[in-house]
Amino acid sequence: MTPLFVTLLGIAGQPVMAQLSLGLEGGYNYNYLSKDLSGRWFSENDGQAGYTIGVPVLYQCNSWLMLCATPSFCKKNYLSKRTDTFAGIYEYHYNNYLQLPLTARYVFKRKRFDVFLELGVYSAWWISGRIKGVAPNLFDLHDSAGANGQLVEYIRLDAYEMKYHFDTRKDNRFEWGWVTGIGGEYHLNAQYALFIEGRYTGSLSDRQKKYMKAQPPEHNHTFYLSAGGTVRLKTKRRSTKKNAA
Amino acid sequence: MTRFFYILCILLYVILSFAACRKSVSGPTRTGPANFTDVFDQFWEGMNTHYVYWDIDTTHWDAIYQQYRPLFARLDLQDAGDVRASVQLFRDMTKGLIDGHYAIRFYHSLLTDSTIDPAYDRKRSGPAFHEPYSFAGLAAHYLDPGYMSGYDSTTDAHQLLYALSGTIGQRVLYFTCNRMALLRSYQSPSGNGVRPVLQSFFDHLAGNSFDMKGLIIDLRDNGGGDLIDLGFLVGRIIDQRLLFGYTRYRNGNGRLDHSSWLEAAVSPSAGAKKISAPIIVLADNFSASTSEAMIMALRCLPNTTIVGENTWGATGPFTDENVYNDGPFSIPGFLSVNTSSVEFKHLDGRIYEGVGFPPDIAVPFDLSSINAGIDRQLEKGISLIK
Repeated sequence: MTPLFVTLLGIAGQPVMAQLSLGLEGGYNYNYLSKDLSGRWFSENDGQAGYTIGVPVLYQCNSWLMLCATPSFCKKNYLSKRTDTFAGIYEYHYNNYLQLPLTARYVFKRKRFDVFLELGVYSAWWISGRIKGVAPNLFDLHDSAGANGQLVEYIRLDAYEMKYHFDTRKDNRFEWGWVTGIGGEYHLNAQYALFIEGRYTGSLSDRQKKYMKAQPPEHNHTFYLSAGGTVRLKTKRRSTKKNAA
Repeated sequence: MTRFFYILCILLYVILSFAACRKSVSGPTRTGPANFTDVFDQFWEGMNTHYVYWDIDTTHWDAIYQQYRPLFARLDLQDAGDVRASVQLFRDMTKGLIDGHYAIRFYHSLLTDSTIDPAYDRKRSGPAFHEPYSFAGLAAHYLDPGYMSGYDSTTDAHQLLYALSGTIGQRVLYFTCNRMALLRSYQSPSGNGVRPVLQSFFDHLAGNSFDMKGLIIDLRDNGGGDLIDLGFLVGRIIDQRLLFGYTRYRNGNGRLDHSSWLEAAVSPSAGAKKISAPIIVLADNFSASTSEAMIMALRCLPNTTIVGENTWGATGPFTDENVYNDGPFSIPGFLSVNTSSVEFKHLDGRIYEGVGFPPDIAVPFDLSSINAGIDRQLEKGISLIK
């Protein structure tokens, strides 16, 4: 709250050029689900690539501060897999989210090219998911004779792909957390601009509802690399009046 | 100053965010317990992460923690009396678990004679409980002369494998065995008495040795065994893949972390011949595990009728802990827990764990008839084959 409060203090009492811009952005993302795997033999979670598309709405408060809201659709994928002797057993999770980051953007203006840093919060809704994987199936066995003539049983790996079915007891479909980012914007002219941005979202909410003691937490960590363009919608000049002495 | 503070916040958060990006790696963490609190913590956590029925089991495992951890904390691992007393605490904690395979065996030198079997304890205290009975001797009286029977002592050092097969009235083919190790016996390089029984049974199934009007597979008092026998036996009497249910396993350390349901099916074996004649499966309260799976699979054939009693209710098979990171686990030097590695759901959408698969035609166990040489369940099965 302190950075936000201090930011608002900085806005007050300043001559202001307020401008609203609307844009379109898209890009690549990489998501990793942090999940406790202690005690699970030869198991790992890996991050997976996805994509994002969004509609940034930017409100320029003054020469160095901008407020941004970027309603967007994004994938937050991840991979659970076994390693070593159990390599070949895995499960891909493809998850779709609607997301709304709200950030304050600090802008370093350099003639036509600006550099910006941003910090804020986001909320998201887990719309749907799909899983695809390979797992050992205890009812799919085959046998062969071992070196000493004894029977050796093998468990076959079965492939599967299906829609993820939400469990209302555990799945927390609402997500929120922190956003931070860095980027650059090139002004083609007074109205149009192109930008590229790197962003990180880290969930502070647990992906699961609390249902048990000593429950292992799950959090999404997502990195984005997006590019897009904006168009300035209107220009309005206003200033605060100072009392005459 | 404000701007620099703002920038510092951002940079700090970016650095911390990257620091959070570590892959989770794994490994076993259980060690020999130093005290009874350690024993309890390892057991409670092992159940947390390995038991596959938390989504349907009504045992309140968090409440168990609150109630029993203080009780274990009062026990002294060096005191023989306390060690023996701990068995009753384990029995109390687990008495409501639905897993029909669940059992605790103790490594501790003072407790090697103690075993905890919640399913058996519940059934034994029920009004309809009867002791297990081996029907093979009684059933043999119904078979035509020339039936075959045999033993194999090589598949298990502690349990003989027994099989019996023959015809009834030169119209019904009959087979029974006391547990599932049939493929191992059939393919064993050493001679045994079960292989010729199986060969005779398979020859009758495949050939035209008699006009078979029906098949009776007797799985009463068969506590299960090798899961591969499901395909070995059932695969011989079907000509296409038989889907009979679904399984899923634990894929995380949360009690509701489960994989998706994988299909459980039996594939026809090479040279299999579809049996269109009526198939009667005899089941009783002690038909468990692999024999239960066989009963549930055969029930998915349109020409099968189950006669007898509810099965035991141990429908989730188990395997080594490291296959799924669930199921059986142990506390080094103290105890081992046997429990299902996967949860099984029948094709009808129901989970029969702890409940047992019901018969189509209920014929209760009747000791007085048995003592008079009458096998009512078998006679009912025979009567269904016209």
